[in-house]
Amino acid sequence: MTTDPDDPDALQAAITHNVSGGGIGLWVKRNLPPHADIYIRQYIGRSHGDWIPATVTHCTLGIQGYLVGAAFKEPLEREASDDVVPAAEESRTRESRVAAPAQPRPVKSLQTMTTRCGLACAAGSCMGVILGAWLSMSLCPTGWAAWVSPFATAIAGLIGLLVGRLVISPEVRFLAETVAAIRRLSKGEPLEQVLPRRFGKERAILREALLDLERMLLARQQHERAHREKLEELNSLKSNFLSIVSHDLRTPLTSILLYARMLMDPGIDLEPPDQARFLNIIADECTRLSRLVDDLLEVQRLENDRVEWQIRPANLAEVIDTSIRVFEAMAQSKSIRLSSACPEDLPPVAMDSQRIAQVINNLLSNALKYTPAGGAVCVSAECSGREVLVRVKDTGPGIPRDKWDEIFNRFSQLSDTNVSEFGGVGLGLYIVKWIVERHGGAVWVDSEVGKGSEFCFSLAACDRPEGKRSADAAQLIRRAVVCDAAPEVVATIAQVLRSNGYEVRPAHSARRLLAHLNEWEPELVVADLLLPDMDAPELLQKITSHPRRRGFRLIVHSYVNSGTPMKVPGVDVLLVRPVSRDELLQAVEFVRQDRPRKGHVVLVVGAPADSREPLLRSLRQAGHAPLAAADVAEAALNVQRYPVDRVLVFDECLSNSWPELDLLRLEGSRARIAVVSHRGGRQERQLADSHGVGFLPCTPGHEEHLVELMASQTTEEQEALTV
Amino acid sequence: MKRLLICDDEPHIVEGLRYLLRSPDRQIDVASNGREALERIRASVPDLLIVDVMMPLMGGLEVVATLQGSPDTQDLPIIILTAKGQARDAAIAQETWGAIVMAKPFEPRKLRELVSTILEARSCPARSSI
Repeated sequence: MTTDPDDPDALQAAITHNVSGGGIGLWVKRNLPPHADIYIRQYIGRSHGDWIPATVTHCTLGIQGYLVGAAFKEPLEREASDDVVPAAEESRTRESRVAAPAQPRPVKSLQTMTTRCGLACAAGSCMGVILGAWLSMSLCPTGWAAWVSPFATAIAGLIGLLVGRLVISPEVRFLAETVAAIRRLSKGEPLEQVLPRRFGKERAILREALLDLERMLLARQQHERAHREKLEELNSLKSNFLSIVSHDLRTPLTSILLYARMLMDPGIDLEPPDQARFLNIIADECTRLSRLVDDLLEVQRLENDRVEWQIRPANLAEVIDTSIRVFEAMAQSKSIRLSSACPEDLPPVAMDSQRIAQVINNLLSNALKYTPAGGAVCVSAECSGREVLVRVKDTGPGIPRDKWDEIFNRFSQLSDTNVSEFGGVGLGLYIVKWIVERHGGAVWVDSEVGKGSEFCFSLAACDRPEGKRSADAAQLIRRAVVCDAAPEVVATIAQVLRSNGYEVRPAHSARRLLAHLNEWEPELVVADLLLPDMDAPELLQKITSHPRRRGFRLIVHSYVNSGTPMKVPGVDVLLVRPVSRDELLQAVEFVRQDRPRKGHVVLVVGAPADSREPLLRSLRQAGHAPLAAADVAEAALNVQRYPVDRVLVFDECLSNSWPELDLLRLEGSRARIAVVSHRGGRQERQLADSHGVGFLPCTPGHEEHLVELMASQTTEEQEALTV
Repeated sequence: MKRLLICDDEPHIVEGLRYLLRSPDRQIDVASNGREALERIRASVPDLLIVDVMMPLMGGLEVVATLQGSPDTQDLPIIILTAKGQARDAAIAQETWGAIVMAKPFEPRKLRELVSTILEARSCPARSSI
């Protein structure tokens, strides 16, 4: 047995068997990829045979290491194969070595290359001298050259050899050092250390090439790591899910076995009422088991889209009443107050009644399960804009905020710790989410730990018979995602949006927001960038560089005043809290307009009531996106919030000498200011010049001319700029 | 009179165990989660604790770890019930703290015998001391 392989990368392998000269099976210590080229040679004592090329056919992890099957590239001759591949009984005394995959046969010393090049030069020189001698002999037949030529040839050859070696040796040395550098690099040494010291120009080229190689390897490594992590995550989700399912199956089984055995045990003396009670418990637990199996099958059906949906207008209040009746007995037994509140004028809802009943039952069952005795559970419905909201509120232990999104998830609704905060919720909420989202609605939870939870879902209300207008409006329904870490903020904004014809999906984390962006293709995103799971700049970058960025408008609302939208590129409106309902509505109204393509965002300040509307209309017609503000203070806020290009200030709202204009000059704003004057006198024009703002004289009642005037002024300014 | 504490969040299992283990010379208390169990043990240490692993607020393993950390409750015999697919954590508890682990669903007769054995073993030193 030898222990010093001359190739450090060679793998020691124990041959297990050979397949009649065509292939071989062997144990190796590291994984070899399929189809990898390897070389095998046999060692007996210190002697070894030739390297035989082979290809890996398979490699699996076994008890002694990796079991590799390899096929010889060329069929071995009978004797050779017997010689090289030991028979099974001899394998303990013999050992084979496998060269590393793709390892070439060991290169002979590079020194010989240099010598070979020198010899080539020498041979060339000799041939030159012989040719010269032959020529001179034929030209000068006296013959003296014939005596000289052997010596000349020998000397020329020697000089050729030396010169050849001298000339070629730096190149060969560089080649040798390159090979050494790659070997050292592959062993993990840093690039700068392994590079040859000399060869300035070639060193730079080699460095570039190796850097490229290193980058490529690094990228591949990262890709593989990400892939592996993803697989590991999926695997752990799967195990977690299996563990939960097995827990939920074992718990009722334990009860059944316990009570059945007690009924069977002659040693336990049971009273007749106890017997009946035990049988009831067994029946209940069987129902629970079968429900769990149903749920599992239901999830399977929903996920594979094998459910027949019968969505038609139906009365939601009736469905809620039926569910309440189902759970009344259970609530009474736990001393929980169960109530419902549905307004009489609740519009019909387009839904599959049976499935929505399932949703309400699941939510009610959870609420009753987690609410302690003496608590209250209430189901309510209300109409909000074009949606009907159903809330199931309980006074249970509540759900921590970081679990709000998670509990609707199939796999991770139960933490894999031994504390089952939501133990037994099972697949109920996941099914709820599926059904509601299939109806085009959304489901979310709002909860405070220690006080209770409120599960809420939305469904689209049907048009009332007289509602021709709402039918038109229904076509305008747009999708919006509202994201904020605070649920009350999400709820408020969502309500404003819903009453403006938006279908809203809530998100409480950056992850969820980005998922909605990808899957749901909303037209509007209202988001606070300060979220627990991602830095604001990173999130903003992800949103603004989204492939669908042209497809949605972005309103950012935040407590942080980070300047104007100009300073936060890619944001359509930047609202700094607190934001009033009207301000939010204005922002929504603003983003509802088409993005101005040729025109500008024009802020009209202090326009008299009768001229404001015509002016805004004319601006819109000319392709601008107008905004209005009552006075300069409000306008200043708007300049911070909107990407305003032009500000038109009516001089009626300015005091003498117009000091308020300075309020509008904000750092980072590109807004150009012009004062509109109905008086249009020389004094006003001078004042405008002294403030460095534009001046637009205007006759009352002809404000639409301002649009042209503004356009011509813009062109003049541009011309002035180009000149 | 021997005192038993049964801690499980499943009311049916608690009820069944109470019936299964009842005996004139035993007093059986129940708790529905780990925190409640610890409160009861702090008030008065029982002779045996039967605890489930997965419970709300505080799981069984946490209860066992807490009890082992306190000198008053170090010697309290514990039976851990586990319904988890992999009972690995419970097995660790068995090795570390010497708790007895029973996987759900368990054979009721075995549990009853085990409880009797433990309680008798506990009364022996007391008898010898008399």
